Amino acid sequence: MATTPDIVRICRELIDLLPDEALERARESRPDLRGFGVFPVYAPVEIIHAAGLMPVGLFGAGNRIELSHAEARFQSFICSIAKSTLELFLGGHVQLFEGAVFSSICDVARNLASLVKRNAPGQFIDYLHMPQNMYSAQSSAYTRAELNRFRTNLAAHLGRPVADQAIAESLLLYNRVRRLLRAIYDHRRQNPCSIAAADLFAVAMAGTRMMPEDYLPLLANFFDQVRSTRVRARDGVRVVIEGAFCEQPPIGLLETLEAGGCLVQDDDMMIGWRLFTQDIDGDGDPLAALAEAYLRESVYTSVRHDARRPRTEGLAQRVRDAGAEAVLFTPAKFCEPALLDYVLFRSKLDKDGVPHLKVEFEEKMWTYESVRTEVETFAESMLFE
Amino acid sequence: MSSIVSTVVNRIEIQAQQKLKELLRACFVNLDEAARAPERRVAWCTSVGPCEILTALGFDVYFPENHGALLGARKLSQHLIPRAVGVGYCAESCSYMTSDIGATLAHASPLREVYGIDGPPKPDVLVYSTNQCREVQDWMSWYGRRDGAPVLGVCPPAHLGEVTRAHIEFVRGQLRHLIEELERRFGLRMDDRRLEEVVDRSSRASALWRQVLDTAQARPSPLTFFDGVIHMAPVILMRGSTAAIDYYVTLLAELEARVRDGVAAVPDERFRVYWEGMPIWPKLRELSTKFFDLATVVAASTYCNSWAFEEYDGGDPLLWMAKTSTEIFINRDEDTKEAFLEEMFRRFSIDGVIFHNARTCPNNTNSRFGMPQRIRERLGLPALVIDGDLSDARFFSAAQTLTNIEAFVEQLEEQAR
Ligand code: SF4
Ligand code: SF4
Repeated sequence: MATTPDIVRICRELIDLLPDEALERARESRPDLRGFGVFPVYAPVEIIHAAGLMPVGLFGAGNRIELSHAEARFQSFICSIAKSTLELFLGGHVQLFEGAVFSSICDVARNLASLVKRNAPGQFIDYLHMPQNMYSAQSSAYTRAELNRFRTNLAAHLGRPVADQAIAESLLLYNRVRRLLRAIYDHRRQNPCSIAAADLFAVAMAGTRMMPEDYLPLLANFFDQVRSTRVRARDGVRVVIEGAFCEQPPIGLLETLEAGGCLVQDDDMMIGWRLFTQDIDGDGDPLAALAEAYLRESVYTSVRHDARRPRTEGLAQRVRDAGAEAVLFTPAKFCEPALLDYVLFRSKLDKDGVPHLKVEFEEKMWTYESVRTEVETFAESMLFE
Repeated sequence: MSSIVSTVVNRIEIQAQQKLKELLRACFVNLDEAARAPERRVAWCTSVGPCEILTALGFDVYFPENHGALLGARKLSQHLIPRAVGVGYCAESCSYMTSDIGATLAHASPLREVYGIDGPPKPDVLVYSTNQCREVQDWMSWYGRRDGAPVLGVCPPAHLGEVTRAHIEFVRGQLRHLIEELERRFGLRMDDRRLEEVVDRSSRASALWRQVLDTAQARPSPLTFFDGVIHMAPVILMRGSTAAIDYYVTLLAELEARVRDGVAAVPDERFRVYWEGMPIWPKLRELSTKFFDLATVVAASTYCNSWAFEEYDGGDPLLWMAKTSTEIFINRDEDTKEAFLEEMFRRFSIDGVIFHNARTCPNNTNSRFGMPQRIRERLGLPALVIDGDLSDARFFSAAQTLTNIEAFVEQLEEQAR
């Protein structure tokens, strides 16, 4: 049985791989496997998996590749994930893929999807128009129809059907993955010293680089290890991370936050891959079940408007549930949805008397010294208040 | 520079402009009265939002984006935006929103000086459609919290290629729901006949507005984009009223007469360019003068066309509303946008395209992801990208931009040789 450090090491290696490399890795045991890119925040990975493909998270390229092609096509004030995701396609790092799916999260994603489409001939690039209204009488039918459209077009591209039965089976598999992730996150909420934020991030993200069948035992193993390991408690300001729902912070930043005196108890990283608050019932029509889960069982995020469950309440609840003392906002630089929500979140936290700090990030961050100083000052001001 | 034509040539003003001023004053004074009268109700609505429903239910409708534009045009935005930044807004978020919120925080509104009213009318309800962007949702919600007024919205599927029956039905359902909410909260009852009438008037104003814009197909063009952004006020602010229809009947007659008489908006018109993106409100005059001096007419724009909807021919008014508001340019994918632009270039015999890269409105900016390059390559049309902003003048460099425009027109000259 691998130890926690072993698992974390494997995961850290995996999340450093570019899409084709991740697929090559998976092909070691499944030689003919093809991939399908999933741009954040959410996509119905079950449909992709049921089509016999490996859903692979497209989170840009960290700072692993030079933006030799994409920089010329984008303005400078665009989030890094958009630039480097395009570069992945232009630079030929997504060739073993049947295609990729994007969704209507922001204006950047729309443009990115269309650019990718133009530059990925032969691949199936789709854009999901997820509902922005969760409570209209037609919301369920609309969402199901949109998922079905994706299924049908993917099947047409592949030249083979993607059956309900297969989707239902994938649903059960992903239920198990998400259930374990929820359990691990629960455990971390109770015992923030038991898992470093950077490690949990790596483990959660590794799931976007593996087939769920292979990921499940690794995750179960990790959970067992973490649960059974006694840890020494550390001092620190207990915080919740908010704002990293799409582009993911560099792992060095997460390490800096904790080294600077914070203990991360909850976060919204990789949220689209663990969106649902409970298992989805896979017995009936699986697409209807997925649609319903999206409408009713989703965690709040800044790209999903839920009139009856405001995001400010979602964050307040997350802070309460975690027993956190403060919030660290970590929006990606130039991320419009995160920056817009920052205003709302900030005023809510001010009202509730919850301290907060904003730390923006981008892919090409080489040093964290100034962040470290900021976080230390913030943490000290709280610890020695 | 050889391309500069003497500025002694004067512009011939559009006569209807006087009438427009009176109309706008009446509109704002009426809104102010409505806000003060206990028995009347004011609804705030986004510019391509479901205002016909509000009008049909008896609300007086106010459009906050217009205030954002006014703040920009009066060069006030850059002084007010820091107030919004102070409460957490990002200085690069929609400057209509941040300058409007800044104005409210600073208790400053040009409406006082322009129309003699205290400022924006206090809302009883705020209604948005995210067909243009999600920023409007945030913007309206800020006022909703401040004034304790309900915020209701319609959220069409975004960024569509083909608009299908399913999309429209989904939006139609949301409009129905909106009506029910308004009825329930305010004890009202929708009169379906009245809604049909309002939609019919709205569509007629819009159709006339399109005809107005289409007069610019003539060579020389009787109006420019810079006229358009002024004269489009009624089709936004008074949509659904007979006043808007009457106004456009008058304006259209005047422009048609100009076409007949060969009256040019830009005398000795040499080139015809297209404006893609938001206006740069604080710099309209400088830009307009520059193009005038260069004998170049900005003959058409996406922006002014945003309110030129297809006609309503009876039937279910909600279906028309759902369709027109979902199909708008800003809510479409890149291919659809490019096809639309191509058609516009053809209809207006365009020689070159200006893309305004509005720093704080990515939603209405199409130059960030290579569209100008594609248009250059595919259509062989010269394209210039201007960095600026709709309201925040700090993002605009006059010297650099005006020089770039001169160079661009030189390029058009080269091409014409
Ligand atoms: S990081 Fe933000 S702005 Fe960039 S694609 Fe994601 S949601 Fe959009
Ligand atoms: S479309 Fe642009 S300018 Fe208009 S409200 Fe939205 S962000 Fe602001």
